[in-house]
Amino acid sequence: MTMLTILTAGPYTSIQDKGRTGYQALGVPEGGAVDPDARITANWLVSQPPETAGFEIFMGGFSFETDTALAIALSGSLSDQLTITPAFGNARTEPAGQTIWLQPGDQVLVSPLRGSNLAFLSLSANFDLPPVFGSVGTSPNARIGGLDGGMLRAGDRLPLRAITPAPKQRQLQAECARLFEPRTIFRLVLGPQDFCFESDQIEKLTRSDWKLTTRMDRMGLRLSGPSLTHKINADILSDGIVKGAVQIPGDGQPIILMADHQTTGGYTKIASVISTDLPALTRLAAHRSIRFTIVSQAEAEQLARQKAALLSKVLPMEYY
Amino acid sequence: MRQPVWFACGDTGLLLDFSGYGPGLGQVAIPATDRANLTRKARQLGQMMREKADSGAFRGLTDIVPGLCSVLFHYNPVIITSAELKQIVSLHLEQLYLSRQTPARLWRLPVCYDEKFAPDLKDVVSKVNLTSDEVIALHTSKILEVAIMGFLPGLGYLTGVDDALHLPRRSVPRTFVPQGSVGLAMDQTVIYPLNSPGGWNLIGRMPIPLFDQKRENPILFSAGDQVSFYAVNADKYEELAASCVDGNLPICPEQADGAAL
Repeated sequence: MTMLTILTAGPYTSIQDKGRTGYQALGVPEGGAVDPDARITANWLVSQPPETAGFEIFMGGFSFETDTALAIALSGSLSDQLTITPAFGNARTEPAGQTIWLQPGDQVLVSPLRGSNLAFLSLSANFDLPPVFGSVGTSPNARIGGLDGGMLRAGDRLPLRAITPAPKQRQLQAECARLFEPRTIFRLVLGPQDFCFESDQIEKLTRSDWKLTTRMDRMGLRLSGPSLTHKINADILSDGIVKGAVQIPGDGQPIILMADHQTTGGYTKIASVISTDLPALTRLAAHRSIRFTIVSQAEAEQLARQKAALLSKVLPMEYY
Repeated sequence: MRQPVWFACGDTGLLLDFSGYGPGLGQVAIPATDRANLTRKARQLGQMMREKADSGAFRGLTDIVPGLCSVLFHYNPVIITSAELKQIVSLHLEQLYLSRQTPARLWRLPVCYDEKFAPDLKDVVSKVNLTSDEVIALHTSKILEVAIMGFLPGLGYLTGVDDALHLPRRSVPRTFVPQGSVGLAMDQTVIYPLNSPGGWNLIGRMPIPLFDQKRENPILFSAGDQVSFYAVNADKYEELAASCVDGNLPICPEQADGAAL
């Protein structure tokens, strides 16, 4: 059986795909790659359907060896490079954002990332792992997906199937690469519980600088800044949660909920980061500052459709 | 009765709140029985819309998540707008008040309340001013309802706990709560489907996994199910736990008494 062997896992690398759709009513998180733009483009580079599983790599420091010939591609952090070391001969470097061919015995290293906090590495093969609720993506808190429901570790051996040895040579076009330009202003739609705050608190949300803290994972990302005060308190009757929701717990410091968020929760959510902007937020490292601006739900939907149209033009395949 | 109110959740979610006060303010304003009824209404609308979406009546609805007195519709903004979705759901709201609730399932579940599984039972006993036998009797006396699901795959928040057993969460949450632990806090009780951190008062353990990937239906509960507990000793607990290997499920639900709905 063909295998990839993990040599160094890095701080927070996992197998991710499109995630699980339709099971949140059972408490099963949606999961999936926190940066769908990176997943979709990396898969396109290796001629794979957009939902295909690959490696989600936070901060880099990830390496593996392949015992079979296949193609790979890195997206999400386009200024970074990969180092390929063959079993015999000299190492070479290859850029992100294009198809790269590997030979049996090649070792691939993603060094600590400089361009982004996050990258996605796709393969011209599928992991031969059992899907749980239709996905092999890893949700570590729910302990589902991946090898054993956890993040990858050095020594893990991942069986492969359906290897396409010679996909097309592809490179991300400039129009598409612009999706990955760093963003520091993020658009919000107010609600569902913005009415739990006085208007001066909403102004505080949009007029302050917010710093990303080191407390970030696949469930959420904690910001630090001025404390936001509730009219009464932070507790609500538990309701459903979307990715990107800006939750304000009792300490007044926002938490932006990510792919592995709890499906329901009992804290106020003042607003949500729009789906167009959320992937860019996941690429920012701790200590970076961001700001928020408010758009309407209809404007946010229009932006989502514009992005979908752009992607379908530059990556001509069904990707949703 | 107040009209349900829509709230935006970014460009991928629409929340319909049945409390009429806005989620968050209803908690203090709504009596428990009204809350339970509104939660059922919201859940029922969710089921109705799920059936419509599954039948192919419209596209773009990606998930439906019942909450307390609310239901969240997840949608794909590339396929459907929130305005369109609101219109479709609103059409079904009228039918909702005419339709009957589907009969619920009732799970009778064994719990071992032995000391080794119940690290907080002594503490609960002193806080609620009852003996441990009385706490166990009350915990097993009521038919509970899975009000909503959340926190972990398969975890249901069970409401309908006897008033005498209402107490706050532990002031310091545990970093490790074993799978199957039965927790008590506020006016609810839960069973942990997985090993997890948690802040509930642990008063027993339930041997049948709420979430087992080896089963054809890995998750036992759905929102709206009814649950009642019966006490078992440690030997029976071990026997039942052992019978759950390889995805075996040693119990099946009964049809709940419609009168409770």
